[in-house]
Amino acid sequence: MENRRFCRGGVAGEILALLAAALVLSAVSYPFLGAGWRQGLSQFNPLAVSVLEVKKNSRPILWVDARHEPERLRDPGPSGSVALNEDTWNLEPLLLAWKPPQAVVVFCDGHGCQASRKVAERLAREMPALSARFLEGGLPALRQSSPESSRTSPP
Amino acid sequence: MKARVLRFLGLALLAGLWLWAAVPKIANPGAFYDAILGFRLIPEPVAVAAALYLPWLEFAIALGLLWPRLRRGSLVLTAGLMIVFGCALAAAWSAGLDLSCGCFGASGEKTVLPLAILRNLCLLVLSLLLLRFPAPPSRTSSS
Repeated sequence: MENRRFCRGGVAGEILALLAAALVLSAVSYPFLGAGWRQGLSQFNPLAVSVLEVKKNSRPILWVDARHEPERLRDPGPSGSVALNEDTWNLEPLLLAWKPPQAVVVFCDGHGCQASRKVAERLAREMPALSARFLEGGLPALRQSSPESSRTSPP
Repeated sequence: MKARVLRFLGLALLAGLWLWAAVPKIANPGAFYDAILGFRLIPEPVAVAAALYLPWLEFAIALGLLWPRLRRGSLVLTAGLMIVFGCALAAAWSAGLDLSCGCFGASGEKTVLPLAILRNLCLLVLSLLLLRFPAPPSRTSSS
């Protein structure tokens, strides 16, 4: 009986009924969510990139150091990295160093620092061709995943 | 009798998992929206629609599994969604994404993607088995 129903499209009807029920339920419930259901919830930033993504990326990487000079001198990042931060916005070293198809990844000190995000966002606005991203967790995350490469490997 | 009990347990397990997955997402679609965007597979407007629609579909499937008239359709949708979710998890794994899948609402913990894919595979096999072996005819049931 059930097999015959399946062949005659009974299952298709059941599926349509379930899809329609979900549509009705989501439409009915939507007004109860309020206008601000997305406000303040989104932590997602499309420019963020994780260390794992960087490691799996087949393209060579040009690291951009968004830290200030004293921090850079005290604790150098990956060798070959280019300095760029919002206070001294000088794109020339970056443009000279960048060779397609290099991926541009901006880093700073860690989860608390916002400099890399700001630099990546500004680069995305001013130089979209670079497709700049910023590293989640910053230099500590990179060091934790590969202590050697974060200090010595060329970009 | 044994087959009937096993079938009931399988259906109850699937329905319970769907309910467990659906309720936190219905309560907090914003967090589910963030989780969907984290996969970087679909654009923002589609993610908004998915965040609002998918939890209710999961809820409907859970109820459908418990209602004999909608059971086969629910099992087909379960299998289909397990394939879709499994592909999304596999894509995230291959891209090296470090994310919280939001499968059971916003836990905040990063998902171990291979385990999540394995879980989906098990649920896919279970739903296909339940489809393949329908309920044995009952003396009291008219269907």
